[in-house]
Amino acid sequence: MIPLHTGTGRQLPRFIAIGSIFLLLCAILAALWVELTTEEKLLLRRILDEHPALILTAGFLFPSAVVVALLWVFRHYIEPLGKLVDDVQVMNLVNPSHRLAGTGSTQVRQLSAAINRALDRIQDLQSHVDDEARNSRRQVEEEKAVLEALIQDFSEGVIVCNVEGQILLYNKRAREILTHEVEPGEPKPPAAGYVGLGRSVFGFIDRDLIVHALEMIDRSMRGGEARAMAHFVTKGSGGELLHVEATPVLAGPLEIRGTILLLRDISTQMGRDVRRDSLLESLTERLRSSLATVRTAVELLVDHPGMENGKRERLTRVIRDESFSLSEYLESHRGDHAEYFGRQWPLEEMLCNDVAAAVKQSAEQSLDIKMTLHPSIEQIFVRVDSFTMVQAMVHLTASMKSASGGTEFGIRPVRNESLASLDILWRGKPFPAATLREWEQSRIRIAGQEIPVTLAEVFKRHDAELWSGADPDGTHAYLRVVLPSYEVAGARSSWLPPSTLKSRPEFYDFDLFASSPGSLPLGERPLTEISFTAFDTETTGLRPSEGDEIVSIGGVRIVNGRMLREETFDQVIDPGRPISRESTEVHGIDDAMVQGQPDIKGVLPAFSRFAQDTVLVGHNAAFDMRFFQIKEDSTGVKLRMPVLDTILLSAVVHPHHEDHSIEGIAARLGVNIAGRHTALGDAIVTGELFLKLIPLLADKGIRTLGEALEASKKTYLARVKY
Amino acid sequence: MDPQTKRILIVDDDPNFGLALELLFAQNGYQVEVARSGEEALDRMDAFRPQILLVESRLPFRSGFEICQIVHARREWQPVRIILMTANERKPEAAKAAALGADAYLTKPFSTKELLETANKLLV
Repeated sequence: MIPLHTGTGRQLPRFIAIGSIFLLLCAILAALWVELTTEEKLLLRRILDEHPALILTAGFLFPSAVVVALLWVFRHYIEPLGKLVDDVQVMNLVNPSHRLAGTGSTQVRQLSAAINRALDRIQDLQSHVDDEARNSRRQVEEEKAVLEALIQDFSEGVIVCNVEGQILLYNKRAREILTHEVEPGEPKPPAAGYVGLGRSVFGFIDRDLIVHALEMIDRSMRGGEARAMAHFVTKGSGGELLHVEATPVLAGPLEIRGTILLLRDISTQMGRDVRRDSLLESLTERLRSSLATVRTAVELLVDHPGMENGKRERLTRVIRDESFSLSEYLESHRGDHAEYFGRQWPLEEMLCNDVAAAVKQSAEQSLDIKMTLHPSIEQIFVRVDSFTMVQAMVHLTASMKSASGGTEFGIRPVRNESLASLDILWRGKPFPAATLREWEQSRIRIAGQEIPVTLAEVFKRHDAELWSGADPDGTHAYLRVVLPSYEVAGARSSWLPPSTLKSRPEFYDFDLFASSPGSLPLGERPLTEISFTAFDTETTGLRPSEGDEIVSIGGVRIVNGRMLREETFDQVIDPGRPISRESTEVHGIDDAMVQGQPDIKGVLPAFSRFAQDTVLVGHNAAFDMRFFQIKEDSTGVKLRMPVLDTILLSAVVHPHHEDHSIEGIAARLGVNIAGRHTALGDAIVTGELFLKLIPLLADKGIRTLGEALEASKKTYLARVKY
Repeated sequence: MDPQTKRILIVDDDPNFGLALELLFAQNGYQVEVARSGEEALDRMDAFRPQILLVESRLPFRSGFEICQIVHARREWQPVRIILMTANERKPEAAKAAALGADAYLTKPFSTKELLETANKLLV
């Protein structure tokens, strides 16, 4: 236990109090004396003369008694209570295991003891809570590590994003697939953009596709489907085909909070499938045709033995020709067939009613028409790539609208034995086959954008046929897409009540699920919730206006108060001029190292993309920004995001310190510095300093970005100009 | 033109199969003409007035389906019966053939007997 106050500090007020009381008594006596008339004063004097003991009593003993009484009250009640308040304060703020000494009167001692007991209990509870929290935190960390290891080992790309498309989790494979990431140290920054926590996935995968997938999932969940997921195929940034499987992340039975996307590059697979399909098809057709000819000729010869010689000869020649050419065909395609036997293109099983509902929704949204759905009562299952199929049907509707001028359509799924038809109905006449053939050759357009497939290709993919005819009702015509329907074994026997859907194992508590970006203007958002790019540059010298150039840029992302060491920017740049030995001594980059590296025109745009939607943090950032600014015209890159400077923020937090160098701040804030004087190394140190500065700024009442910028502006160092 | 003669117009771009079919129907008492394309077939319809049109579904420009639809819609060419032949056995295609006016649909290879029976049945 720590004695908080030694005597002297407390003695002084007591003496002042006693002195004051004494003076007060004197003043009362003096006032009484003045009030008395002359006769009364004489009388009083006489009384005092005759009874001197009275003087002693009134003038000395009585005040003394009062003072002694007061001293007793001070010592036993006032002082112990004051100390008690101080001690409780200490326990509250500084040292929770501090206890009250228990001085003063019995009552005060009892009070101290009672407070001590209460505090013991609180501390006991607190330590339980702490233990509990530590335990569960450790458990979460362990689970996280397992999950991370698992996901990193996946051969498929994994991305988890919230409904706004912000990435909450990804693995290396996903980054490779989406960005064609090359080995670190390759001289080219990725062209496609960056995959990173808190970044948008929509830069890589079309927003419409993900929205469509979520709608499909939502629909099938509402229909009671337990295995709610959707597939689609999209073009990657390098033109390759990506197969994406979307599974919802659920908050409640029907509440989608995000999506898990599994990515697979299927270009090769797809190419193989197409090759194989066409091989198989042409082989079959070839066989059937030749066989038809041979068989007809042979049967003719057998059935008509008396046929004249000329005809017989022609028929035998036909047989010989056909057999020869078929043999040649088979010979030339030998080996192909075995090679192209692979997996089927993944189409998903869907209810025709769902396809129709999706067509209706999409057509009404994009075409300004009304489409009535006539759902089928029985369940008709078809295998479709729902996105392209729906878009193909919407495209057809658009063609019909522009050909007929009609704005009212119907859509009707019908089963016809083993076939399913999707009819688009309208009031009027059927379209001739020639018109449909033209439409089939056109490419699908979605929201004014052409996708590189024709209707014919989509229908072929689905083994579907298209024609138009008159509806039996006499007033309507239909455009019919017919495709094979499937019995889905146990499709509804695997029903699960929707309530069991939420009981997925949870490994993560993703903070970004809860975040709602853009709800506050950037300036009003807390520093802890903003994404930052801590960055640094190395240069050939200190004078950008006199021709000094950047030789490397490093950057690291900070999201949700966490530095993401996996998400870095590290690029050496050819400055286009010799690098002096002095600067090489600083950053270790020499002329040989910049050979074959891109110049600033190639790198600054990439850095700009890397830092997109973040706030920049630099140490002495004005210096680096000056270099960027000078390159604005030649690179076309204007970095206009807010910039925070750790020098200025440090000066805001510790205005009385002189040293705001990286080493100085690091020493004060307990940051370990390693790998300095590479752009990336310095960027990481700067980011760590910044993260340490955030709570210190909060102590000073600086919590939002706006406040931090304002405070920076005010510190005197802000006046230094480069 | 003798109304008693059975007339068949064969539409196929494969010369060998065309020849075999031509001989087959000729041997069985038909008056036969062969067209190598859909256009040629449509051109010959007025002069030849076949009772049966035997069409390959996959023709270079206008498909057999289109020929079906056009012929079926022309009243002056009725009654003409259409047999569609295909080397591609797919159910949706059969449904399409029926919808566009084909009276019979044969998947290659078929026996001469089957073909003749189909043709004869359609003539009744």
